[in-house]
Order: sequence, then C-alpha cells, then structure tokens
Amino acid sequence: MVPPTAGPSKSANQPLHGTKRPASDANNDRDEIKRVKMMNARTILSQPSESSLKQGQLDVGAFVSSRKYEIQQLSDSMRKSKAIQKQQTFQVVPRSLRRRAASHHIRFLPPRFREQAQQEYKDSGIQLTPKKRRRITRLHLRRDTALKLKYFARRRKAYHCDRKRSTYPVGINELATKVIMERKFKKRQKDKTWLPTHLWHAKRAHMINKWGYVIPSHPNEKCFRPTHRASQNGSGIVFDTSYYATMILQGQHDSLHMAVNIISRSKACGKTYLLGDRAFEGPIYNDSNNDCAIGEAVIYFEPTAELGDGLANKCRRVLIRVHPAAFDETWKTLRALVTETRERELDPDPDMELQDCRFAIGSIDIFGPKSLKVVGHNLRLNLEKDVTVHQAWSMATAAGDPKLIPLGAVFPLGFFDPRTISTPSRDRKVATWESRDVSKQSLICKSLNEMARHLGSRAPSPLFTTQGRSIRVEHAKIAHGRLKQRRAANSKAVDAKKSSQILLKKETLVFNDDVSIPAIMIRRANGAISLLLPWQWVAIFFKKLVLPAYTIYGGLQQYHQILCERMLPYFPDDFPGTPAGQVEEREKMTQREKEWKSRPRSKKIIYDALDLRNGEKKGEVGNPFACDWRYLLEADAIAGYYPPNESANQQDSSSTGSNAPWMITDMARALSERNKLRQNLMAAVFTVQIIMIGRGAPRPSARIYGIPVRDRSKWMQLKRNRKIVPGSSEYPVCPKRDYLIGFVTSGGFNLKEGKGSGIASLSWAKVEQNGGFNYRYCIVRDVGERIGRLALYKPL
Amino acid sequence: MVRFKSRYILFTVHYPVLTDIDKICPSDDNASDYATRFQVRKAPSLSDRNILPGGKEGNLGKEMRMLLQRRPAPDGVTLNAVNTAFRDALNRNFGDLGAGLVRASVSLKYFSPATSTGIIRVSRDHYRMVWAALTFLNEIGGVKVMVTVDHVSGTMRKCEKVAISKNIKVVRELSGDL
Repeated sequence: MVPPTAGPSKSANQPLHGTKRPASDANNDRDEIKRVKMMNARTILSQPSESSLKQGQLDVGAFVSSRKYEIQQLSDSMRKSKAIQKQQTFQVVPRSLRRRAASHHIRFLPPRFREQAQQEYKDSGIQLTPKKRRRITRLHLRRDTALKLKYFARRRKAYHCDRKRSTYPVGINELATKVIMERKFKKRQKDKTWLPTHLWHAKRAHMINKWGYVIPSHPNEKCFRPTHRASQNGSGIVFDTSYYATMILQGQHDSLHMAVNIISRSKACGKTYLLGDRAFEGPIYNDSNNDCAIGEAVIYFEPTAELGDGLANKCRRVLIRVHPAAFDETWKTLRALVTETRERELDPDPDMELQDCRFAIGSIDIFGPKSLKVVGHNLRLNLEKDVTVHQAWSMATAAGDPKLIPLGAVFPLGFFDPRTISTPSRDRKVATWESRDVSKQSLICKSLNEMARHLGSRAPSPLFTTQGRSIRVEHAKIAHGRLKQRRAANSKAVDAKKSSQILLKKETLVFNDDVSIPAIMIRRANGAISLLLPWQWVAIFFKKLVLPAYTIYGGLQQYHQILCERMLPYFPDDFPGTPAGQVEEREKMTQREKEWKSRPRSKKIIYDALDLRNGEKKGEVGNPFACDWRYLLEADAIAGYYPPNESANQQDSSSTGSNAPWMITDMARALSERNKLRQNLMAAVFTVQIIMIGRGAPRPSARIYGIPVRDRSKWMQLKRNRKIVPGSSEYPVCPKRDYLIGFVTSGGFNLKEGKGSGIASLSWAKVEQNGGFNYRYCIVRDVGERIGRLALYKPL
Repeated sequence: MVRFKSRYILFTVHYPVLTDIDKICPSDDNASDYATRFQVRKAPSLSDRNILPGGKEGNLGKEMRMLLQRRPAPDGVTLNAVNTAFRDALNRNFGDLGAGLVRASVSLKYFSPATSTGIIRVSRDHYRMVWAALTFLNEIGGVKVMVTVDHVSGTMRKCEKVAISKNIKVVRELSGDL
C-alpha cells in the first residue's frame, strides 16, 4: 500500500501537527472516517520549537520536557499503528484455539471473539453455516420429551440423596473393576480405560492405547519448543497422569513397616517417611532374592502425630503409586505379602488389606517454574480456621517453582470446587518472580516447611478413605450458580467493609454447603508436582489449571521430553533392567521393524550394507531396531565367567534367563561390593546420562562404545581441534564391536543444555573390561550411521 | 507478488552556527537545579561560536555542548521547509533522473522542530541516494544546517525505538546528573 506522500501541512503556528478532523461529507461518511482514522493513527504529533526556544533563550527544563513529549508520541504512534493494523478476528485468535471450521462457523471461535467475528463475517460476505435445525417429527418430539423429563428428575434433590454411588470402586484384596467414564461411549471402553480427561484430550491430542489406558501421546500442534519453554521458563505444562496405579496398603503399623521394608529394601522406612512428612520416591523390588527392580514408586505413609511405642498395633495406611507398566508385578508382590502377613503364625495381622485404587484416585502432574503460581491462582484452599496454613500456602504459591519445595514434600490439602471460585482474568499473565533471589528462596523453604509441619500434624488426608473421596461432583450449572452466589456475597461483603481498612479476600468466604475436596500434593523427584485427587474431580481441576495463564498440556512424548531435558530417566523406556522396560523395548522393536519393512528399498537404510570401515564385516551391530541387550550380554568374554544353567525363571527365554539385563539401582554399593557380587554383575546394567561433546544428538537405541586405549589420543584431539570434522581423514574410525558397552535408551537434542544428550544404560561387565568406571568418555553411534561421536557419560 | 520494501531513515538536524541563542537558562520552575551548571560565561556570546565538536567553542561544558548539539530548530526550519529542502538537494545532486526515481516513494514521515529529529521513508532501492542527498544538505530555510543519519531500518518501529532510546539517554543525562 502506497503511503500518503507528505506529512500534513499546517503552518508552524498551530500547536499540534498531525490531527485532522473528518470532513462532514454525508455521502462518503464512513469511508472518510476510516481514512482519517488511518491517517491519525499513522501520523506522529510533534511540538514546534517555540516551547523551548524563546527569544534567544534555551530553556533547559523545556528542552527536557520536549524530549519526553517526543518519546511519548513515538510510543503512541507505535501502539496506534499496531492497533490499526488489526486484521481479522481469525488471525488474532491464539494459535492453539484456531479451528478450520471457524472460517465459516462462528461457534468454533472462543466466545470472546464471536461478536467481533459476526460483524466481520457479515462485512466480508462469508457464507456462514447456519445453525442446525432439528427436524420435528413425532419420534423426535417423544425423544426430546423423554430427555427433558430425565433432566428434571435429576434436578430434584431427592434424586441426589437416593443415588448411592458418589465415588468410584476400589478393589479390596483384588483388582478393581475399571471405570467407564462416559456412559454414552461405553462400547469404546470395552477393552481399554479412559482417563477422566479423555474427551478433553481427544479433541486436542493424538491418543494411544497403552497399558490398558488411552493416554494422550502428543498434542495436535507441534510443540517441541513450546514444551521446553513452558517447563523451563513459562507458566507450566500440565499432564493428566491418572493412569498411574495407586494402591493403599492398610494394616497394623508393624506389618506395614515390614512390607514396605521388603519392597523398597528398607529405603522407604526412614523416620520422616514413617511419620508421613515426606513421600519416598525410588525403586521397588520384588520379593525374591535378586536385586531386580520392578520400577519406581512413590510411597507415602499416612501422616501420624508421632512415632512411639504404642504405634505397633495401630491401624495405618500407606499409599503406593506405580507406573502402570510395573503395576502387575507390584500387585503380585504386595498381594503375596498381604496373604503371608494375614496367615502367618507369628503375630498375624488378619486385618491387613491391599486396596486397588487405580480408578478411585487420579492425578495431575504439573511442571514449570511458575506452576505453583498457577495452582495458587486457580485453586483455593478451603480452610476453616487455619490462617497460618493459608499464609504459608500463599507464600508457597507465590514462589511458583516446584523445585523450591523440598524433595518429597507432601501437602494434604482441601480445595473448594474450582468452578465455584471466581475465575481469574483470562489475560492475566503470571508475573515473573525472581527465583534467583536467595533470601527469598530460604524464606519460601522455611514457610513451606512450616506449612508441611502444620498440615502434617493434622488429621490425615481424607483421600485415603473411600468416604473421604466420595465428594459428589455437582452438575456444572449448579456449580455456576454457586459461583454467582459467591460473587454476589463477595461484593456485598466488600461494600460492607468499605469503611474499615480490612477488605475480605475472596477466598475466605465459606458457605455452609461448600465442599472440601481432598487432595494431596507431592513434590516429585523430577521437579514436578503431583496433585492426587478423587477420580471424579480430576477433569474439573485439570480444565481449571490448563485454561488460564498460558499453561499448556502435553502427552507422553512431552513428559518424556521434559525428563530427557532434565537428564532424568523416564519409566519405562530408560529402565531396560526391569521387566516393564524389556516389554517396552520389545514393543518398540516390533514397531520399528514393521515400519522399516513397509518402506521401499530406496527410501530406507539398508542395515546389512553398513560399512563402519573399521576392519569388521559389514552390517549393523546387533539388531538394528532395538537396544540389543542379548547381543551385548551374550558376548563370549562374559559367558566364560558365567556359570551355565543358572537362571531364575525360564518361562520366557527371550527376556529372562541368564542374559536378561537387570538394573543396578545403587551404584555406590555395587562399586564397593563388586567382588562379592561378581557373578550377578555379569548381566547387570546401570543407567547413565550422556552428554555429547560437540555436535550430534544421540537417538534411542544408538550404540555406545568405550574408547580403545590406543585410540584415546585421537578422540581427544577432536576436543581441541574443532576443524576435524567427520568427513575428514583425521576423524577416527568407530571402534570395533568388542568395545560395545551399552545403548542409548532415550536421547535427542537437549534445548536446555544446548547440545545433544540422552539417557543410556551401560553393561557393568563391559565397562569394567573397557577401561573401568573412571574413564568417562565414550563414542555414541546412531543405528545405521557410520560416524561415531564423542560423548561423556555420567552414572546416575 | 514481490513485496514493496522500504527503508526508514532517522536523521537529526544540527545547526553549526548559532545565530539566535544567546544564553541557556534554566526554566523558572527548577531555577535552583540547573542554575549552577548552565551559567552563562562572560566570554563571547554563544551565537558567535561553532559548537560542533572540532570547532572552537571555548569553555563549554559537556552538558552545554550536548544541549546545543541537539537543540530545537530555529525559526525557519519547519516540516515544510525540511521537506522542500531535501527534495531540492536530491534534484541538485542527482538531477532530474535521481529526483524522479525517488519521488513516488520518498516521504517525510515525521519531523519535530522541538527536537530537530525526523524520519524519512524511501524505497529500499534508493535509500542510499536519499542518504547522500541528506548529507549534502547545507541549508534549510535560510539556516545553515548539517544533517546526520542516526539509524536506517526496514520498519518504522525500529526507527522510533532508536529515537526513543536516544531521547531517554539525553533526558537521563541532563536530569539524572543532579
């Protein structure tokens, strides 16, 4: 568009250049107004020089103020020209809310844009899809009437009282019956379980069927960088992790203590854990003698006032949360323990029971430095008396970053129904809080400890009991009614108190029939907060957390990405030493192989033709579609040590048996006791972090080699001389397959580190052979690649 | 379609010869603040000096010099005058061809006599010509001038931002020093 040629011409005596009044021409009134508006927006006002220059005197004060005026005008002009450029509503809508159908269907725009859009669509003559009209035939009428009657019936209070079930079933000493979320879609949930937020996620994310649940795999939009930003700098990212299996073990304190002792190899039995101050998070093992871990679990004892002598026979509960991939094993182990405890001769505990709460307790995981703030904004604590807790909570949520909370800290909280609380303004961006301020940090820590202590010393969370969880979810309309009621009462209260200094905070108004929804907030080892809620409330809380303040949602891939960036292992992918990890690996292998087979020969890597140019025969090392643990651990060198015919289970020969990798969870102990454990350590595997030196990013199932001693100097040269590039002749060749020490289980480009990184598992025996545990350099080579790249590994 | 690209040139007009400022005085309100610093010397009056760097200005302090270098325009240097002057310069230095090439796309977007700052918009292909013409500009409305270009950018916004930051710097130095 050609701009107007000259600035408006006014004589120098007029005070302000630039404004123009619209001509009062009746015919082209609207166009004229528009044009003038455009001109006004585009012109910058300026002051004549008389103001600061009078009769030969340069007035300094006026000089400065004329500069300030100019600053003001320039800023205004920038703002105005941006505003005038505003295009169609469709372009202003944030990217994640854009829908294709919105171009002809106003319903698909967010409500606040609809009015604007209406006008625009009318102007531009777009053919809007009219609202659907229902055909009115007798059958339809009858159906409508039936629905209306049902609706009215439901609204009757008596109906509510009669309904028995307000919470979801729990299996006592047996597996729970699964929950059907939306009755309308019962058929689709026959062989899988839907998460509470399924419908919400299904519209926004690609779902997959895993471990019996339908879980969002990744959002529909590309979100590699937004995920990184949200979890590192931004408001946060929220996941529905209700697929995590929760179990509650109930019984006498002593027997519980013993059971937990066994499955966690006595790591979860420290004093803080037994008191219920902190939740234990770490590996759990099965009952047999080998050190094979099943997976990672969160173990949380129900809080109690103190540990004394009288505690031995007191009835207590322990909450155990496991990943669904590891659930079967854990359930088996615990079930066996329970039966044993109930029926043993010496001091039996007949009341011990194991509740399967998989479908009664759901959870939401939140990552991000401002995530606590989002939680604090959108969820209000329901506290009748305790002001100190309230203060501590505001302090904690002001901090924003879950990393400031002590590891494993647990807060049993009670929330209001978030729909009945005034929702914060949509556009309010969560303000930056300088988290590097050390003094503030210590203050936060202290107040959080205070709060933890306060809350911990109260009665344990109602979330543990079925009664406590059975808070019925009201119909949305009723909740909205409550919201209006609350707002009205607030404004009344505010008016009443206007005379006095103290203004009531919105959240302290409690009505008689307000429900308090029990929740448990745990600070996890990976820097997230897990919010445990009754299953029926998860969807409501989730929606309230995702909507405002730029929090984004994610799927399994995003969870994996966040953990990868933080260099933490992700269950089950990064735990090849556990049965769950092996199953996962096998599934991935079949998947990859299938994809590879379906591609035409010219468009895929032919692994058999891979020539590493290191004197060995052609072909990929091991199975190119997987981390080939069998290949790694079957090597002749090890087999010599390993006594034959020694294996625990021989049912599934491919995964278990003498060559199944098992994970070392305690590196320090393994290092110190290695002579004792020599035989067992042959198939042992330990997890490491991998950081690339220089370019390259490791991909899953990449091969890791130790560096042969004679080549070490060559590889070290790469560090010093950046010009040695893989193509050049000086670039060292990949080591031979004897030097293979492990595989990368997850990896990629790490936006946090700025280079490639990953999590890998290395074979203990192989590392010992190839230079010991102190030399940490290694070569990482992707499957199908000829080039190996230098990297550092660091045991976890 | 190829986009029409343009350049925005942010320029300042300087007045090497002071003809009309005899003294710099503080405004009446803040008499005390500026008084000490900007007292006029008994030495030859300001109007006879060349206050630009390199000129013999005598005992002018840093702030004085700053003020005088970015002084408001004297009478005669108005938006229109600037407009005509630089088109003339284009014509004189680059002839009819030059002026014609540029005429449709060049425009003076902003000029403030109070701060002697302006923004010219040119098409991208000919901005160097306009820049050169500005350099050769000697006189506007009878007043001897010298034009310097502070910033060239593809958007108006950036020029505005640079202008703002320069102003902020000046304001900060003059008032922040107190």
